Amino acid sequence: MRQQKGKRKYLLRLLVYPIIVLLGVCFILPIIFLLSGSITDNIEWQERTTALLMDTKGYIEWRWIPDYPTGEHFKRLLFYTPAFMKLFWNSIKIVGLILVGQLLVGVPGAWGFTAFRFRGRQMLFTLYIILMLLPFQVTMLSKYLVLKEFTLINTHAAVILPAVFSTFPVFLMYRSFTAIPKELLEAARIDGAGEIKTFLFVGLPLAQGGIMAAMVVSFLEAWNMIEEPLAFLQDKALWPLSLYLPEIHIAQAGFSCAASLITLIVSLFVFAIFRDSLEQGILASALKG
Amino acid sequence: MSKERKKVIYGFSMFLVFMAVCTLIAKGIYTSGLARVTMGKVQSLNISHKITGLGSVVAGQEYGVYVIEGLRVHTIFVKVGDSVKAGEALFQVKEEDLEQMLSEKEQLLKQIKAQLTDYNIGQQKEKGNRQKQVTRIQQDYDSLIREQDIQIKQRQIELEIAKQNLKRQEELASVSGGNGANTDMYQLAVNQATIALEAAILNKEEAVKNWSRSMEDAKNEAEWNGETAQRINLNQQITQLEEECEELRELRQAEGIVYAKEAGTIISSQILIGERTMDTACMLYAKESDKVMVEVTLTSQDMEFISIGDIVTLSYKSRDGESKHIEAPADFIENYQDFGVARFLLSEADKISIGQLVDVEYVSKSELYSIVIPKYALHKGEMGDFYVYVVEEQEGILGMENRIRETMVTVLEENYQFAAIQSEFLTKDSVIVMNSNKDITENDIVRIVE
Repeated sequence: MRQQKGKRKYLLRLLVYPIIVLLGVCFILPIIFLLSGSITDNIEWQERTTALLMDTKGYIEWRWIPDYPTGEHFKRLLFYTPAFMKLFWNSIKIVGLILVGQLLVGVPGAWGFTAFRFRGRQMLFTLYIILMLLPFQVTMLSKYLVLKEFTLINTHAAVILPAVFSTFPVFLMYRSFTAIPKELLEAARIDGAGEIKTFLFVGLPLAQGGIMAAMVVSFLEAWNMIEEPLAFLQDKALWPLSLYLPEIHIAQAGFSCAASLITLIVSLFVFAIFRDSLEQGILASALKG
Repeated sequence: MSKERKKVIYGFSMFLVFMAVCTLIAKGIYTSGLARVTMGKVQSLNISHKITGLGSVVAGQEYGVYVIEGLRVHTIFVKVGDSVKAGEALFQVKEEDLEQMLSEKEQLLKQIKAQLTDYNIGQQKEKGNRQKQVTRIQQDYDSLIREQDIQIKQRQIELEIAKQNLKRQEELASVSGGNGANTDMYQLAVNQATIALEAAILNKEEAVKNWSRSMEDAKNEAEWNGETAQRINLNQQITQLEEECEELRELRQAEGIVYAKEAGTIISSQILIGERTMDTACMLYAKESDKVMVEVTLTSQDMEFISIGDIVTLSYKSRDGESKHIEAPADFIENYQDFGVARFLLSEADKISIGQLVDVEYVSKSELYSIVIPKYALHKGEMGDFYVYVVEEQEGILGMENRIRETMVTVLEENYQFAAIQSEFLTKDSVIVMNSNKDITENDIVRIVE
């Protein structure tokens, strides 16, 4: 019986693993393409993609390993394109301030919904969820009018502040906080811990995974945002890196691939650092939900 | 925190440090590649033109010393630039030549006078013949008139007879009551006689007219006593030869020496010892009493800025080597195709010798222009159009960028240093690019340096 069960498990693995590997390859293929494209020189790019560039009939002859590999695109991007660097640091600044803001505003907010029972709490939380569900296009005009009144249009604050007060991380962190057993919080209070102490020394450590997961999600959202800066930032000098990429056209595809890779590296690092927390947070939120 | 996470955080930090270093390098490379330009405000200025040239002192009016052509020069006593007094010897011709020429001229004079005498005798004979011709024509006329008068008389008689016959026939016809055919015949005879009379009268008138013309011509010829071209020519030759002989005699009396008639300065000599004199002036001199001028040849471009009455500065070295500067007005200006000549009048107090070299300097100032720029800030296009560079601030990814814009301008006036320009895009407060350490073109991003 046990032998039969083991054999079935083995057969299942034999069936599932190739599918997983195939899916993995599909997911990683764009990155390999970027890597390959970023070391392909312009002449080879044009030779391989004539059908695409010249809009003629035919097929693209792509080679994963270029005939004449070059580091020219990275050299040009890193040492001769100060505009890319400027936007890179703009993105770092915007994303960093958004995350710090969300930690300062969103975490206490989520704790408030978890720890305190007050009138209208449920209604307020429902409103949060509704706001979370609304797409940017719906809230863009109202955001614009408010930002204009505060003379924040065309400043980084126009992008940072709405993101700081975003409802989505509050929702995610709220799920983490609710996973903390109530008895534990009661015990802390009985031991004489005040609300702040309970929050700092019980709530935060126990919901750390969820908070980190919310931060990672927020990071990805902020790092890749396009509509907000496009709508609220007129000066190109204030733009984040996500708006630089669309300006790269097909004639310099290799350069474009290199820029995309550099942009991707930050996300990869963030994911690598917070991967465990992300998994735990999502798992915790999912279990509670 | 796991060891693996620490490594990733360390790697991320290194990545950010690497990006920071790359940012500095990229910005450094970008900045060092930008052209550095110096800006400057346009000015309100007069455009001045400095005209310089090397002129020489010339006489206001030149006088010539003439002697008869063909005499051989024996000695020249003066040279160009010498001041001479009235009566001072200028040069001497060979006396042998003088004697020979005088005898030749006198001989020629005699011949021409003899020709004139022969010519006058011939003319007298001719006049007598013409008078005879007039008498003959008059006689012919008288006989012709008599003949014509007889003709007319005859026609008048014939007409009278025809008229009487007609009258008689008409009376007979009225008495007898005969037919009018016979009357018509007589009437016809009267008409014919009338016509014949009129023809005779016309013939006489025509003859008189023709004769009058012939008579008038003959009388004119006979009575004409004026000068003929030949006689005038001979008389002129005689007068000229007489004058020349007189001059040669005077020269012989002066032993061949030519003297200055008035005090002045020799400014040119056309004779050489041993060579013969020509029909032009042997020497040119300027009278002491006349004013002298400085003459300078200038380019057409320079001539545009100078006009009569403008005061120029003349610099020269006096005889004792001292540098002197005087001012003189432009008195004469003449433009040719590629150059021009200007003369500046010197006052009597300016003691400069004729022929002396003089530095001429004149500074002409234009009207006040509101937009004047240094010449080096003005650029010329391939089509010959002019433009200046201005800087326009533009928002770019790297912040405010200074972008170069070409602004077309019209050059109103220029000298070697400045140019007065006009453009609808420039005002007296405009700031333009004056200098750049690199070649710049439209749309270039530049760095402004103070």
